[in-house]
Amino acid sequence: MTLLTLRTTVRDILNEATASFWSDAKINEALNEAQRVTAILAKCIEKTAAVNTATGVRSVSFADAHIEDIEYNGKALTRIKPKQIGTMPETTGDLGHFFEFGEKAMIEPIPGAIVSLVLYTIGEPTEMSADGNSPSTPSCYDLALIYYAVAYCWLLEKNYAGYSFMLALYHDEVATVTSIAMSKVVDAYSDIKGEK
Amino acid sequence: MAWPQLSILRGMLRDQVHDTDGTLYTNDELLRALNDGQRDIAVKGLCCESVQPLTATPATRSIAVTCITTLAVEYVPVSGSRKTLIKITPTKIGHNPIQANIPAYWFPWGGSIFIDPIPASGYTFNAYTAIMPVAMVNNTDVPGIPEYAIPFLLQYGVFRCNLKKKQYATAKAVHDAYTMGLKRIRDSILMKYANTGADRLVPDEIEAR
Repeated sequence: MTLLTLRTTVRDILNEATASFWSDAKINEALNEAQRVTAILAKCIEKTAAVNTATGVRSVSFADAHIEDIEYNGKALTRIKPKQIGTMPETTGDLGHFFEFGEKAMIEPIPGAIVSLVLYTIGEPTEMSADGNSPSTPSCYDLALIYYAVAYCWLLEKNYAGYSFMLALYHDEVATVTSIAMSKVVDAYSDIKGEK
Repeated sequence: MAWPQLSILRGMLRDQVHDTDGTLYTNDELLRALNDGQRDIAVKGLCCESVQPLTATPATRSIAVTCITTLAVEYVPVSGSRKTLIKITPTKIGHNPIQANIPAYWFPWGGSIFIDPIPASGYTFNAYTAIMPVAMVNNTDVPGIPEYAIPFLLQYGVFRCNLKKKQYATAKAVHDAYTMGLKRIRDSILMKYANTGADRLVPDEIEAR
């Protein structure tokens, strides 16, 4: 959906077809807020980035909100905690682990040379401003954005019953859509081989 | 699937929300509610199924797929048996047994599927996907969801109309029933199940008599 379509649907529910209490700008603000919240709650803007390490430097910068995984030389690094630095059984000089700290990826052991990594990251949405813009979140979250924006608008109107109803509906929508459309459940033996 | 056309569906919805003369809801807003409903049903029910042939780019792990979600990936070799790949997460890349140059695993990421090991050449796959329905525009258009899901589409429409009227208790009751119905359809039909030995054979004690 475009920003215009989203806003029109929000207006359908608000019962305000043309701007009176809620300006178009205010509804756009609500929809942008909705995609920011949804992006981080659902971790639904999945991206990859190819980056290089620097020799002797543990940290690698990245532009997104969060790192899910790092691939090095066709193999995923294992996520650890900072407290585990130097305690993990790993071949000397081979990259094996990482953690996220201060909006950087921290590699363990420290790379002894420049190496290429693939980061699997969770991105942040781009603001929608023109009516033709679409959300950065996947389209299966469009209804969640609408519900959040309606909640936001009803809060501005001091319609607290409507606000709490729509906010609960929004969270239910995000949880349901995420569990179905963004499922990370891996195949089990019984999925592939069946049961006897 | 030729039933029901949008004009019929909208009439049924108007009956249910007691607005046959169009005083409360315009045709356009009912159309938006019904199109949103069929998208919601497609997302939560995964009921619009499509097999999409895909071709890998050599030395590239990812292949773009347009869908709500990919449910399974089948490797289609030039010769020999086809086989479904095993679904993993990025955390498992390179940590599981592979045979050189034979795709074994996949995971969904950002509108693509990623293959492990990285395809050495332009391998072909079939992706078993759930997709979004095409939006209805004209009065003669029909929903893109299966016919058995039409009652849920009407329930979604009733829910949306009650939201506009600020009838929160009714909206919640209708939405809860709608969600529960969709979940039951998804669990009982759409999530696929395989027969087990217990399904095919009579119990041992009966067979022995």
